[in-house]
Amino acid sequence: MGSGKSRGMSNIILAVLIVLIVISGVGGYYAGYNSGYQAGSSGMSEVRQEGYKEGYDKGYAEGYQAAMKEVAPVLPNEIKIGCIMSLSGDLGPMGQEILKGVKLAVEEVNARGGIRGRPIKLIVEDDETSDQKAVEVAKKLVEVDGVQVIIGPMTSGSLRAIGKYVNEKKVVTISPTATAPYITTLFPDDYVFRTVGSDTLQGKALADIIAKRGYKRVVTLVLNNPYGVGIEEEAKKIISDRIVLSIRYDPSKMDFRSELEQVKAANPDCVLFVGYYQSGKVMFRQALELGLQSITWVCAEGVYGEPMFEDPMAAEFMSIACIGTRPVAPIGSPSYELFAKKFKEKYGEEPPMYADTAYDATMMVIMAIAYCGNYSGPAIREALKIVSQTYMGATGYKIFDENGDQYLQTYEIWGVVKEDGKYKFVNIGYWP
Amino acid sequence: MGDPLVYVLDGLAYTGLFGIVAISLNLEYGFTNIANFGKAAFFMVGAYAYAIAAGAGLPQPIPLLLSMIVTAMVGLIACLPALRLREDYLAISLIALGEIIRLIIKNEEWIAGGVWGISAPSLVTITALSHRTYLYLQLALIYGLLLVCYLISQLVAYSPYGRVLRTIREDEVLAYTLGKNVFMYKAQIVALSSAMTGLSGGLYAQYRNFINPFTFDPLMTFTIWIMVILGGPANNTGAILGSFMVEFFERATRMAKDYLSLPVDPNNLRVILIGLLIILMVAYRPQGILKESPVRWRFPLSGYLKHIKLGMNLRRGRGWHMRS
Repeated sequence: MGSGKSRGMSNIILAVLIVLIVISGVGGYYAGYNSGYQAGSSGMSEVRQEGYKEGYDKGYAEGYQAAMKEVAPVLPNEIKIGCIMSLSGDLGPMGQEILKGVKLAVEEVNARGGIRGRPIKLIVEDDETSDQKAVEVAKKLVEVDGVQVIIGPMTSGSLRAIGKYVNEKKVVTISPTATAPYITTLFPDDYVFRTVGSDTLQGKALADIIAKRGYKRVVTLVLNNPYGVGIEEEAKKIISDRIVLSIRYDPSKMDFRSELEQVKAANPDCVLFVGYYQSGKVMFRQALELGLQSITWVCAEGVYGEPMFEDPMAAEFMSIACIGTRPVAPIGSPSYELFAKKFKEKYGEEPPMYADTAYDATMMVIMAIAYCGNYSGPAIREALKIVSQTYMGATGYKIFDENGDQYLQTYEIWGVVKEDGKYKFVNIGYWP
Repeated sequence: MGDPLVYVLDGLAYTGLFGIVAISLNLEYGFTNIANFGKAAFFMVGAYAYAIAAGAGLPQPIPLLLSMIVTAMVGLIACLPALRLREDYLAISLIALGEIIRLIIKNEEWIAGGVWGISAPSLVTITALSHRTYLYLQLALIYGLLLVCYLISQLVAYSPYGRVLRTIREDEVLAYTLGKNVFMYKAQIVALSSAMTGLSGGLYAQYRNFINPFTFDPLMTFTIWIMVILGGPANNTGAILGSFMVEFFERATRMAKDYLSLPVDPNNLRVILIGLLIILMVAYRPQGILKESPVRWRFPLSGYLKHIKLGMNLRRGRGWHMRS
């Protein structure tokens, strides 16, 4: 047993710790409760906003009016927009970048006076790239902060995990990045929306490119998660007769020699590859080491981006062997250029992938709230459908179909070239 | 509008769920010194057993019982070769086992949906309840079972049997020389503890309604270990306290960041604080917040039980303990 003195010391430290914990927790709870209460009660005194009745098409308005009947229209003094991003964990680096797109939209609108003079407050939560955490933070946003609309989450797994909850709570959830096809079938006509095309489309695009280019022996090498497997299954529907081998790899392994040896042994003329930056860099470096650059690698958008060039061998490999697809605005649309200019002014860099869809998701939500003049999930949901019909954003038209998915999605076909010792992505075509 | 109480109740539900797991790890690590680093895997087996059985339409509570039985069996099978290893090797082999089970479920889509995950029906099936009432029912279920697990592990730990466990913990050779079959004791404890973990896994699956293999990564194992180390190894109350503290920290820091402006990224504050707390704990109070109690523990109402002559002579072994 320790001496009496040291025991006293540790007891004091322990006591201080416990007191701190209790104070922080209780304080946080009451602060949240009070501010929520005040916002609610002051909003109640607001009268119904004028003007929203004017000028919208009666044809679209039926569902909207039905939704308006359920709740009295009240626009709070501060409009909260919840945001769930993966700011740490596997997708942490990507999430930090995508968040910039959301912030850009919010700051742009706030600089012009917010929604009808009311500032927007963005509440960002980190789901640590874990679907369990996504559920927890969604509950925090809805129950504690009282948000009626959530931007995110990033992964299809997290979106699936919170889908049932947000539907029960009637909270509009709009993900800029979740591409898995199963979101469509799990959450048809409801509160879950996406501003990016489902991988049903991208899988089709990839398969079409492979078919058009006439490759006969195809190996699919995909991430073993809903993103990778989703694309693989969609592509298989079209080119199953050409696929000689299907491999699903674990991205956390960080050594893919055995998978690449299998690819080599199958002797393909094309590899359909789905991956993220971290695993993609290792995969391409090792593929170069094994001499697989004579095969054409057709890649999904997960490996599109400057971070891929951090590894010179991976960059070299991409310039020799890789082409791929990524969702973009339609050909020649000026809206992306406008977005890119604003983004560059603010952050001093080219917009990273999906910052544009995140920007669009945020803008559409803001416009929907402004349109219906009402901060409630059901009204925003109906307004969002109407807004989507006229909105032309950074990534083009954003019309939602009856499942809340993108009606249209253009994909760019990209390649990599080496110019003056520097690598860069180039456009080599569009799909469809 | 939102209901902040729901967020609190949700936190309490997770506290209860992981409290059961923490108690079960406490039986293994705290009382017997079995370094089980495969906790997440056993938890996962329980969750999947429940989801598959309930999905197949078995009437309740058979799926929950199945998740206990299956997990206990997996625990037994795992420990047959592993328990003969020394502490550190045992830990490594159980981490490996955990990853193997996770990867099998992830890759073999026919078992339970592979990467797509599997949905699990809730045990509380009364419809048309408000969300809050639903949560109260869930909490009653979870905490009822937590209480049962707590009482069982207290009974085990403070019985003559428990003293053998402590002997094994302090000095395995001594236990051998006393003629105790150390392997049998360890195997029994792993089976009991795995059954509790499986129960908690089943409860977790029905509470969340949806599980996938990505949730049960090694990080989950470490979180459970943090609970036990914080709360106090070899103290069951401490294990529950540890579970509460981890969950509380997670949520309190999330709330606090909205009202404080800090020089660090507020989303990292949580991780920094938990790390700091663990360093402080290990440096100044390695025995945990609640240290192992030298006080004798009696089963509640055991005095009355004695009067009605149930034959449970729980008090016979009073007054003997290893650490003083």
